[in-house]
Amino acid sequence: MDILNNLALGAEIAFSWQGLLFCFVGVLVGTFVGVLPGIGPLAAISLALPMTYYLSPPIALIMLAGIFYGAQYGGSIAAILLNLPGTASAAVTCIDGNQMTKQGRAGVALFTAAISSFCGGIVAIFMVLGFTPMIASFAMDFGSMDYFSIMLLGLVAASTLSVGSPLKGMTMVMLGIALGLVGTDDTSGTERFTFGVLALSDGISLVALAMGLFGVGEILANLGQEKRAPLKASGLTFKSMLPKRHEWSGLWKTILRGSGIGAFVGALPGSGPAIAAFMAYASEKKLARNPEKFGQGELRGVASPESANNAAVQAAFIPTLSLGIPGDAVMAVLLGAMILHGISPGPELVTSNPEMFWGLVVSFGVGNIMLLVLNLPLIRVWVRMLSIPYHVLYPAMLFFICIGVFSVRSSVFDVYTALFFGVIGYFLIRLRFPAAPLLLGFILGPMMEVHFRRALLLSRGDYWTFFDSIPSTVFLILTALFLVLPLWAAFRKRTARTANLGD
Amino acid sequence: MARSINWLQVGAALLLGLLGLYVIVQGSGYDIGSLRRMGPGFFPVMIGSVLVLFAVLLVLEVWHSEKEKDFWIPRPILTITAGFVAFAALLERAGLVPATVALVLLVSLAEKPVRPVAAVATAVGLSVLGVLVFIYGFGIPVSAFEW
Repeated sequence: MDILNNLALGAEIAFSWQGLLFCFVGVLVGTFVGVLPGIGPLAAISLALPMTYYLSPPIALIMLAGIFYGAQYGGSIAAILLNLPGTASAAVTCIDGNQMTKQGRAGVALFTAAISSFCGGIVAIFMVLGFTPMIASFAMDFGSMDYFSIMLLGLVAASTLSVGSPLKGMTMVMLGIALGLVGTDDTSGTERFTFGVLALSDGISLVALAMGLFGVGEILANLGQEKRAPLKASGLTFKSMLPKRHEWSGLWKTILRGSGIGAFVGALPGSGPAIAAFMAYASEKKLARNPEKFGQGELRGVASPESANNAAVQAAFIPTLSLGIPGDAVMAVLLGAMILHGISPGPELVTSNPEMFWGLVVSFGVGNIMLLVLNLPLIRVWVRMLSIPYHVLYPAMLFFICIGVFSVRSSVFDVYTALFFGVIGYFLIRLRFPAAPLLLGFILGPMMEVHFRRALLLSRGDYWTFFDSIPSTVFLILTALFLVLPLWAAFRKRTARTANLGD
Repeated sequence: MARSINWLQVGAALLLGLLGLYVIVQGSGYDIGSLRRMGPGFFPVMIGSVLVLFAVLLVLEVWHSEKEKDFWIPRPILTITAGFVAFAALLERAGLVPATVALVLLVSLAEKPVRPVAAVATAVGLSVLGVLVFIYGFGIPVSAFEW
């Protein structure tokens, strides 16, 4: 059996002492940043990026991925106990999770969240195993026009599916692509938008940009806010966490549905775990016989989004590993990490670097088991984390940002870059411009330009080349749909409003 | 019902439009080339044009949007800027420890009330950690103290 050989190869990587150690470090850091509100997996992954230079690429990726899904486990803790989502994708968990805390059932909610996340992760691992090699072999024949079109689809989907204004999302994508132009043009060697600054001839540092927008920007936004109430240490025991039998009955169906929705939504380009969690919750509420219970401490309202967001995180690796196209901003940074390690992501990855792909997939399983152990018996340690005062936390975070940004290429200039984008990031947050599409545009922009130029070079300047191949045509039609749908929705809302006013 | 104009949002959209214009102008200074053989200027002009278009649409969208409260927070912005500039300026001239101490002490002023004891303790702790992890561990090309 071919797949067994491959899994054995993956197990060799994932169960090596380095694989186990750095998988553990990853999920530990991930849970930590997930628990702490105001610092998400994106900032943590960009922070850990410079440190992975000392690791071999598969190990580095195992650790970075561990941060991403570890944060999904941790994110639910702050959501349930404090009504503060530790990560954006845990926002839905707040609704019922925090209600349960108010009713004194915090333990049950935390237990369910951990189990649901685990099941979601396992379901998604099988999706990744099954689909990634398949999609990759399908994409082997992709030409430049196909790549350009699918990247366009990813960018449009990411900006229109995000929370808030689709137009703002798309504008941020364009801003990101514009920032990606800075540096030396690969084809002609011309320096573009460098203002004669030598440090910019290699382009804007990805780590500095990400840390600025998601690290410094978030910290500034938090400092400008009202003070939050400190957490009262609650008496959590392992026994209080076990749900009663009547609560548990039928819950597995909810978890399976949530996992399925999460895995499917997560695999689409442009949609992240937050959207998956939201969709799973909404459909669970629709299916329920007693939907009025949702929002008042319903256990299914915790199980559904938590299984979906962790499933989505793992499934998000499908487009990244099979096509080299990241689905959301975190994946984009992971992709950037792979490029920095000298690996060109694309359909060849599964066959040319099998130890990378299979090692990563096996480590997902290992990491999820580690997380279950970290989150059930050790829950009180994490709860105590929530009482670290912010006035100690934010200077430490700023220090790690400064030193982390500097250490990527030993450049003081990048520290100023991070500061610059930190202030910009703060204004973007307050003006409700989503920063994630910006980062996605920044990473995909240069790849899109290369494919755009190559496609038109090969077709001798004929734009119809983008409709010559079937995949490209399908991607462009989907892109058009994503563009039209929000417009149509806005139009319907407006006509509904004017109709109401007319009555 | 006449609502007032949200100048903050409109201003942000206009700034993005200006940036788009700049990308077009600067981009057209590079070789545009032809559709068959594009120069380095083609893609920037294209991107700049779309950015301008989106910015114009955005002005229409945000014209009457809900206003932001407490938008301008000079204290955190200024202290964090000062901290980063001090870190960047001191790192290679004075060493990692002075840079870390300056950074932590300056950014600790961002929040009221200022807690001097906690700030100094954090600064010392992070200095030790920084030297151990980043200089001895990762070997970044900076010394703890530059004499």
